[in-house]
Parts: sequence; structure tokens; C-alpha cells
Amino acid sequence: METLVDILRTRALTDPDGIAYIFLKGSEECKITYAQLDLEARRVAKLLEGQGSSALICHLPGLEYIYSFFGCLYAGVIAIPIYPPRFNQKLDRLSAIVSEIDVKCALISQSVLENVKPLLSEQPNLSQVKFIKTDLPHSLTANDLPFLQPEITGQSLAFLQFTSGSTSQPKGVMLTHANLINNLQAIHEKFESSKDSVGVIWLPPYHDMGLIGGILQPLYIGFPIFLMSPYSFLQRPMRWLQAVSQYKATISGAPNFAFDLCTKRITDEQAATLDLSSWKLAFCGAETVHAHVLENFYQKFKVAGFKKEAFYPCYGLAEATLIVSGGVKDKAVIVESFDATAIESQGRAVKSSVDLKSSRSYVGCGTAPKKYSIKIVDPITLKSLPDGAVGEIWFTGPSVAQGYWGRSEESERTFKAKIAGDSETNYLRTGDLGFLQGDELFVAGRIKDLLIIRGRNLYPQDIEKSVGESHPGLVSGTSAAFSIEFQGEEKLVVVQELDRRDAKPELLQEKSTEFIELIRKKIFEDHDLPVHAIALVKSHSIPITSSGKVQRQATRRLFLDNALPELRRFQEGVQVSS
Amino acid sequence: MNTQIDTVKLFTDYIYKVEKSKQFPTITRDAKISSLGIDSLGMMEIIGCFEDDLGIVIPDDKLATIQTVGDIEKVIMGQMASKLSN
Repeated sequence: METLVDILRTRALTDPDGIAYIFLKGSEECKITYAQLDLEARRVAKLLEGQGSSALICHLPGLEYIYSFFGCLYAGVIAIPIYPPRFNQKLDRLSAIVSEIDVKCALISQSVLENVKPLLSEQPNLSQVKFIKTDLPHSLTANDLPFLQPEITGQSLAFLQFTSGSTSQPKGVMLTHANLINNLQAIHEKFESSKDSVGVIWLPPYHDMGLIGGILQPLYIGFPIFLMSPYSFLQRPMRWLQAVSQYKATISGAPNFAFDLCTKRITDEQAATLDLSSWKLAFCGAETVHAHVLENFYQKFKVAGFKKEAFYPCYGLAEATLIVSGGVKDKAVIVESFDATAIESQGRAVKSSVDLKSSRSYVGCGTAPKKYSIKIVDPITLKSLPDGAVGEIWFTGPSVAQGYWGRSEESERTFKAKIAGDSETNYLRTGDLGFLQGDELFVAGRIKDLLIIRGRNLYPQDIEKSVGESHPGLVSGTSAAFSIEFQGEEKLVVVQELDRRDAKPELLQEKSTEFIELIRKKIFEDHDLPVHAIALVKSHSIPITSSGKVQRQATRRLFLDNALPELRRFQEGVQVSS
Repeated sequence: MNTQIDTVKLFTDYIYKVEKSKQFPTITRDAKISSLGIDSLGMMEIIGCFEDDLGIVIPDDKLATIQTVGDIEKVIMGQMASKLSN
């Protein structure tokens, strides 16, 4: 089987009445069989005739999302899942993607279209987009909609995965059917899933883990999957675990923060009502996995029969389709203590005893699947590094994506990197730092300027843009946004330079209060993100490169060392002081 | 039949339940949620509290229309009405 279309077609022909997906809406179970999914996909494919070579998917999580996605594949059209607009946010993200891709149509539901309609006129380039409602009632049958084989092969693009909701640099990762099928096989190999598996997933389908892990993987193997909206989970984390309990799920997972949220929000009494003994594989990825988060979760839910060996830390990224490494099923999580100072400043992983002050626990993220290889590489010399040395994580294998849409230079650099002394093999540069102990991968940080907060990827450029727009007195290019770790969670920090006029002692108090308030507000409105700390610093104190670019990592280092000439600092939960 | 709900009071209770250690400005019906300093994760939990206490389910597509505390009231009233008519 070469394409995802082949896979769904085979399921529909060999097991037409098999349940493909069950979407949970409150207490309601909305089901769709393989034959129904196949029919709906054919119907959507027909709607897409003559609408161009790609289509946005603007649905909220639900069955209409899934059949619209397959409808694109059936039509041989590149699907573009997007983050749906929330809380009346502006459509600038959608608009940025449309400018990037030049897409002509969008699949949407009636109710979402009602919500976005009043906002469409604010973005002129959205007038080129035809919105096609795919959830209108119909009485079409298989006879009305003959299956038409699209002209695609394994090498055809299936969809573009946008790695964030970035407006300044939306990067669409190009994934072919072959990329996907290879990664689905790798996940299968690692997760040891089978037809007897049962899944529960609340992850958003516009995110790689939700779409590939939650929707495509069950189809590939042929096991039932219970899906729910991420909003359902966030409203009541208990709903996730109740679904695992009720449906006796064997596979379910989420980013680190979700396990933490369950531990914090669910009471001991509630935990005791659950039966989590069926849960064989609790995968945890998409952001740094913390040992204490897993341990606290285990302590809370062992009363419900949750097994510690079920934890399954893994590492992956959209540029590699999804999975890069994962542990061994049913085996205890590997947690090792290393000297954090040696990792950060000497680039070496040195084991240390837990009671040392500089000691930190790192969770092993497993090994590469067969047919794939992970190398640790010096990001400057591009030389392969030995065991225990910290460097950039490089990855090679058949599911490394084709590149970023329309960004050939950046794609060449990121997806076709060569290790010194090996001109044959193309590697993906992940931008993450890590080290190997034998084959076991430990992730130790990041070189790329990316923030990952609660599993969400954010580009600092977007945040700095908002900071610059928050007040006319702030000049763009005079701020740096980065993340730091605070109580086991990644948090946003903004450093902003102040003009000398505003920094005068008699004005400082008033001006800085105003700036801090407006920066927080603007970041909130634009990115739905609380700011952990804002440091207002003297002008020209943020380090820049010779070409004038803000050096975020260097600024971060100075911030952590308290070495910036700070005029005032705001910190979440701490009284503002100057 | 009394369907009067003090949304502002409930919202205030919930926001401090969800974010125990933070201080928030006085909540009013017109308060823009984006200016209160609670993120969508916290907001989702607040919606969850309303759902649990009032025995309703707020559909995902309605969430996108919420901008102010008053909007929550509108959505809740809509859901209560459809619940009562069923």
C-alpha cells in the first residue's frame, strides 16, 4: 500500500461496517464506519473538483474534520490543517498561511463559517478563498458517488503541517504519503500496537501528534479510537481519564503538561473512581518530559490501577513527520541524573548523584526506530560527536519531510544537512540539543529560537512583533522573547530595552508600569499566553549579532545570570518593583 | 421557572478557584476576557466549572464567540433554554 487513500479504500472494502472513529461529544458517541468515511471522503473530493491543488481545513475537531481531510486525499489535493480561530481572534494567522501557499479554497462547517464571516473583510487576501461547507445534510449514496482514483503515488504530497500558528513565518512542512506511511510503520513498531489496541485521544487534529498519532495511526493498524475535543479535556481533565477508564483504552497520550494538569486538577476521590489498569502505553511527547511530572501522576493514579511501566516518553517533530525516538513498551522509564552545569557549559553529560545541587533528572526518550538513525552533531563544526557529548540532534530515515513549502534555502539547510566526512547521507537538523547514552536519546535543550509552551510551538519573532506593537514608544527590534524553565514548566520571558527618555528616574516608575501592562495585554490578546517575566533594560543592552539581529539565547543567559542592566522587572506572582 | 444566573459572581468564584495564587481586576459583565490575565487553558477550566454546576454542555463552536463575561452569559442562557425545551 503506497498511499493513505489505498489504506482507507482497503479498510472500506474489506471491513465496511468496522467502526473507524468514535467522537465523544458530552455523553454522546458519534460513530463513523470505514464505508461511511469512504463515502464522505468521495463526496468531499467531488466538492473539491476544480478548486485548485490545495485546500485549508478549518473544521473544529470532529468527524467532519476527519472526512474532510480524507476528502482532500481522495481528490489528490494537498490538505492544509490549520489552527481554528479562537475567542474571536483575528484571522491574521489564516491570512498569513493564505499568502504563503496561495490556496484557493477552505473546507469549513456551517457554524464555524458563521463565526468567522464578520472577520473575513479585515483580511483582504481572504477574499480569494472559497469557503466550502462540508457538513450540510445530504442523501447521497455510494451509487451517486463512484470512487475516482486520484493520480497520486507515494511521492505525492499528502498534507502540509504547519508547525505553529506563526504569522511572521508560517512554515508548512511538506509530507508525502510515503513519509507518512513510513512514520506510521515506525510508530507501530515502537508502540507495538495491534488490531486489539483501543485508543483515546483528545489531541487537536491540526497538530501532528493528534492527526498522525490520533487519526492516521488507528486507521493504519485498524484499531478503534475514541476521540474528543481538546476543549473537552481542558475544561475537565478528568474527562480524558474517564474515557480511558470507560472504554478500557490501551493506548493514549499527550504532552507533559496534560499529565501535570490531571495530577493537579483531579482529586484523590475522583482518581479512586477510575480504572486505568487497561492502559498499556501512556505516550508523552511534543515537549520536554519531566520525571517528577510522571512520578506525581503515578502516585495519584496508582489507586486506579495505573501502571508505572505504561509511561512511554518519546521525541519527535513535524519535520520528521512525527516520531524520532521512543522507548521499549512495558519497560520502566529511564531517568538519569546528570550535572546540569556540565551539560550547559561544557557540553558533556556527566552522571551525578541526585543530592548534588547542580544535578538534574533527565528522562530518556528511547531509541530510533529501525531504518532510522540519530546522530549527535556539533552544530558549528558539523562533526559527529561521541557518546555523552551534548550537541544538536540529527535524524535520518524515510520519514524526514520534503522541506518547508516555498522555502528552498531554509529547507536545504534544515533537511539536507551533511555530517563532516559523510557527503552521502542527508540529515534533518532538529534544532534541539541532546546526547546519547548508548542508543538512548536524552533531550537537553534547544538551539533554535523556538518556545514550546504546553505543547504549543511559538516563534519569538511573533511575540517580539506584538511587544513592538503594544505601545508606540517601543521600537521594534529592541526586545527579545525566549523561554526559561520555572517549576518544571517552560515559561515566556520578554526583555525590552527602554529609550533613555523613558528611563529617566522621575519618569521610570510611571512609564515602566504602563509598558509592562501593555506588553502583557498585547501578548495575551495575540498569543493567548501569560508572560512569566518582563525585564525592562537600558537601551543597547540586548546582545545583537554583527548584522544587527537580536541574540535571544545570549540574552536568555544574561537574564538567568542576572547580568542585564535591568531598570525594572515584572515577574508573575511577584509584586512589581523597580 | 427561574433561570437567573449571576454569571459575574460565578465567574469570579471560578477564576480564583482555577488560579489560586493570582490577583484579578474586579470582574464585570463587559470585562474582556483577554484583558483579565487568564489564558485559554484557565478559561477552558472556567467553562468546565459552568458546565458542571449548571448541568449544560457548551459546544466547541460557541466557544469561539466568547469575548466578554457577558458573552458567556449569553451562551449559557442559550444552552439552558435549549435544555429546558428538550
